[in-house]
Amino acid sequence: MTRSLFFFVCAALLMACRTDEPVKPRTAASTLRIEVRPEWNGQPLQRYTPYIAPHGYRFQVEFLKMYLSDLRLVSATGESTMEQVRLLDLGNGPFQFDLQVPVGNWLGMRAGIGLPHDLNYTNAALYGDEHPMSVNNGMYWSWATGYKFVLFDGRYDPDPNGTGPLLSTFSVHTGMDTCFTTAELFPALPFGTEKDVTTKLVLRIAVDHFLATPQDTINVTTENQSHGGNYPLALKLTRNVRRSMALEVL
Amino acid sequence: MKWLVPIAVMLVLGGCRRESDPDPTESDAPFALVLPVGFPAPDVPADNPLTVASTALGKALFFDPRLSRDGSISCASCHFPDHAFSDTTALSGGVDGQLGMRNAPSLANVAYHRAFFRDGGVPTLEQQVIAPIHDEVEMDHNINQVATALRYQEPYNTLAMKAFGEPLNAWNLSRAIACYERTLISGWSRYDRYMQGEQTALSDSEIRGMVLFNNDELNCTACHNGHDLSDHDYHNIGLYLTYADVGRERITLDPADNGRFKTPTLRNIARTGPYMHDGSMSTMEQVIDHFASGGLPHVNRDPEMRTFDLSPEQKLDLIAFLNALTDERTIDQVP
Repeated sequence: MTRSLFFFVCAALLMACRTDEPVKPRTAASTLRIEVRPEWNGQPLQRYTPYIAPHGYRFQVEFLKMYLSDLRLVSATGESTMEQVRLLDLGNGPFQFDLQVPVGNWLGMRAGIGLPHDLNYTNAALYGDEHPMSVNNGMYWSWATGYKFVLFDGRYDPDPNGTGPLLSTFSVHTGMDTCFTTAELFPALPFGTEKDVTTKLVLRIAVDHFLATPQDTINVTTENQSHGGNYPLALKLTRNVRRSMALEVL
Repeated sequence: MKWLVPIAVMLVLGGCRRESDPDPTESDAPFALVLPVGFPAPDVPADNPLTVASTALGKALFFDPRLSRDGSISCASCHFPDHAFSDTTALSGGVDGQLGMRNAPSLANVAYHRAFFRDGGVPTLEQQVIAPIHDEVEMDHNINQVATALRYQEPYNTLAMKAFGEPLNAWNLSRAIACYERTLISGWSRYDRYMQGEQTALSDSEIRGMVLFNNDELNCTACHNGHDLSDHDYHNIGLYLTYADVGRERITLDPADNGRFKTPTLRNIARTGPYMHDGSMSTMEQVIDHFASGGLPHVNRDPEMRTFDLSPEQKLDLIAFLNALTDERTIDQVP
């Protein structure tokens, strides 16, 4: 009786309110500060700035967001969950966020790119304004009840010598279970987290690699729309996003 | 351990309330859903029961154009009560005169559907509510902003407190509209009276049409069967050789689902035109002619599609029967 009442109380409390806060680990003694650096050819990515894309045309990013989920620290003996979900807005230059983590020695991180099935198909109305999965963030795909995992929008001009405004638009959104993937983020050296000490890491995201890696290339002059229907393009972007991420210890 | 019970109740009830929130002054009551003879009880989520207050709240929201960005479009703008909660235009419109990509279907008997939209992309009515509010070519708004704007206005404040014990928010807004939509039960036509044994409920022509409808040669009942006259499954009926709207494939990403759309109910078909997912046929005659042709030879065309011949008199009989599927009373049970 006592046990069932306890579970009832816990379940009722969890269900009673909408949530603004993602689930966080309970044991935390150290701070991990992750600086996210969106880059184009090694330089800070600037929105609305024309670059020359790998296929030789002018190209600019206007909106770029992505979800990381189930963020875990990886040690030689196991994993420790840090955070359930985080939305990265990569369109506004470098930024950082702090995670409360256990003390330990770590080889690296794992993070889902996108949202795992159970999280992706929850009712979006459950999440309050400040939650990363709030519908306010423009990542909810209401017609399919899931979320955009990566939102990659901008413009291009097929003429590399053009000087006028970029008029043609591209909009590539990944989503649905098939586009969920996991990033393995292992820096060159292991790192430790100590009690009451902030450990700093840099997460570089090479946005130019979204369009070209040795395995997959995307030419937005011919492949520029994916909203769940253009499946091969969404999968190519998913793979390239995963390959574009690298973790460094500061 | 009896002390744990009141604590639990207090925590649940008090968890989301602020001191400024009004207390619910009356307890809510279950909504007495009336079902036609032979209809099974619909599956209602255990965490979103039909109540007097939740259905009333849902109805008020359903007809409120403030759910749209510019205050011009309500749910009822595309789901007309007089047309069994369907649209009268081929492609349903939204704010700024924009047109969507599909014809808004009837909401009659959605309580029995397994998934929502013509492609079945949304698994619950609660989640479906969010889509038109956010769709740029429909309401182009934000469910959180809608709830915030209406929160302390009446009747929303009183009804939300009574139904959910908290002020209006996106969560209970979606649940309330889902509750209201679950009450839209259709099953009070002359056809239903005939099936219950009232021999004079249908005319001779309508009875001949019913026989045709059930005839294996026409094969209508391969998909239009059951109490809702729909299997609620997805079929390609050879409407096009190349579909501009890929239908179910949009959700499954499976080319075998290209051009497949959910079978619509035939209940109130006389009031739910234009027909097809894109409203491309305006009359029942056109629809019957399409099925009689067997449809276009799309690779995914359903094997149940077959050609048939009808005399002009038989076609009139079939249409007379379809007209007899019209409810004789409103399908809206919420006062």
